[in-house]
Amino acid sequence: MITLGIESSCDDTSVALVEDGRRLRASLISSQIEVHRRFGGVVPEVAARKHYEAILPVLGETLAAARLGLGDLGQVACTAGPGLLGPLLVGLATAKGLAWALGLPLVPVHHLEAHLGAAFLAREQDPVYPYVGLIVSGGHSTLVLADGPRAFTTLGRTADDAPGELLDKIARHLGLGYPGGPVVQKAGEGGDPARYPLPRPLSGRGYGFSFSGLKTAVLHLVRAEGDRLDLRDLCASLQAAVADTLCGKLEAAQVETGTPRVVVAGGVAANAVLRARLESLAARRGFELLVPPVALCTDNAAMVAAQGFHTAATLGTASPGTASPGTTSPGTTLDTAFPAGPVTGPGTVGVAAGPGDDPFRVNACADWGMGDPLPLE
Amino acid sequence: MRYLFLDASSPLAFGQAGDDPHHQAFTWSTRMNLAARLREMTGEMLAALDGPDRAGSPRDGPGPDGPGAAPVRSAAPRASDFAGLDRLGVCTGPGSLTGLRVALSFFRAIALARGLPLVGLDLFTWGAHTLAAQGRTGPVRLLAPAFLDQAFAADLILPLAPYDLPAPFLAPRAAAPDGRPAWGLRFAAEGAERLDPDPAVLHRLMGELPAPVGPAALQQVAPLYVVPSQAELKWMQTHDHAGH
Repeated sequence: MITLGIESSCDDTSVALVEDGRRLRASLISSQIEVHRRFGGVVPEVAARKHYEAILPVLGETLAAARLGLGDLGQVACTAGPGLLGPLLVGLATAKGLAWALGLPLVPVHHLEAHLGAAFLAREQDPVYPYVGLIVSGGHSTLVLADGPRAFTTLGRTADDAPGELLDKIARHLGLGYPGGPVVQKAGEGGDPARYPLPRPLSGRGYGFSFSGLKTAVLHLVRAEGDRLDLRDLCASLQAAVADTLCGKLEAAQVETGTPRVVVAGGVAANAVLRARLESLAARRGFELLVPPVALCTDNAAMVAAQGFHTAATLGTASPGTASPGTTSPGTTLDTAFPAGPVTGPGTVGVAAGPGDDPFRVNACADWGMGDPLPLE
Repeated sequence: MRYLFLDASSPLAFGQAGDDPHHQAFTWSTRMNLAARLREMTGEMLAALDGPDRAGSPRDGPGPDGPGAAPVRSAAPRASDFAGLDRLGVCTGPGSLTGLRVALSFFRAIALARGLPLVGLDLFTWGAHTLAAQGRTGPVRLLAPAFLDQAFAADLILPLAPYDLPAPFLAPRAAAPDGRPAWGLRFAAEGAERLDPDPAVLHRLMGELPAPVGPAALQQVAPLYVVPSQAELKWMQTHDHAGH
């Protein structure tokens, strides 16, 4: 079965075609990095406008690259959140229109779960549970225990900045450019990571993260050092502080849960310093480490299509065209942020017990406050 | 000519189902939850086209928020729901950018998948043809609500040829400075009488306006952006001057 994946949660418009959740047939990304560079970060309204411009051409090119047509699709998977509302809605509305008009099941996908699933897609294998997952990106720093599709326990997340956001802000302050992760990594190559003793926030204190204090520490350091500042050493020290913080929490979670494998994903997982520390940690603790290749670390629709396939396969969909209730029952709320129940599609069999059962009623989920699908326990 | 039209330029969304010679207008409060209600809203319009066995024929008159409302379509969505349609239409604004993009993205995807023509119609053109149908001619100013006390404005000369809209601009919610008569689209202000775009005019326009088919044509159906985003405006104010 070919799953069409659509991803538009931030500044990348991506469409992908994945066969049986494992085999990548085509994946294209229209990046907006150059558009947002002058602002020093992603501007949601600008991003939404660009998504609208890009999504149909990217869809057409992806189908052409795979030599497939719309009639070859078996289902449509789309990121529903979390992410930027305007951009998310362009992808979600497009996915709903395509799914309905083609008579295909619609599978809303959680963005962070898709990031974790990218590690398995890279190996062309089905997700294996349980695992401890760490998602680190420009918008997220979240540690979870995964027991199955949509069966996550959030162990901890950041109280303020995400690590990618931290790197963006510091890179902008230092005049290094955008996005922050790659430019800080490049500027820190060969630097002394012990030169500047930066804090490891909340070290040894639970699974929560907080990077705003680290950001402040760097800004104070830059001001105090003035012309004496060694940029290379600073960038190396900063990356070491981020990597130590993430690895410390991850190690504690793996030890406490006793899971045999760890998945690290998200844009910051592309950072070479972090990857080296993770490999060292895995070797020391003896767990299986899955980190997607760099190309699958940043936002992409391949991970969405793959996760959508596995979610639907596990939680169940039926073929389109069969009977379905799908009734708008009196008193039914339409304020669903994200489906927690089984996946259903147009014409699928099943009882629509609540709005969460109808993917066409799914709205974009901007943040954790709109119905956290990975509840903090 | 069987069609569906959706206008999500404001939190109060408008829809219309047409099947010559009848049409039926709909009004929904989106409750700031448009994306979650697309299926329900579209389903109601489709039900109006389905005929008496499902929901009754489209007719002139008030929509489901008024008397004589059609029952909500209860069947599950199917690809064949769109089989009998000749074209789709969608409002391009100006108005709520998020609402416009949701409606446009949804209908554009349906049009792509079903090979249907998609008519993109802006509120100014709809309003201008509404005034022309009332016998108005000559220069007029039309205003659409914008942020704070401002409005998106278009100075037009009636009758307006299809797709002949001059570039809109930002203006106060007030009378035109040159004294030409002004109307507020779905709102009234001092010096600007309220004008509600006419469903009957929309019905005629849906049959008359050119609506090419295919991906390239669909790409041209886009929201009417009158001003850049706030971030771009701020950036231009701080960067687009000599010596920076």
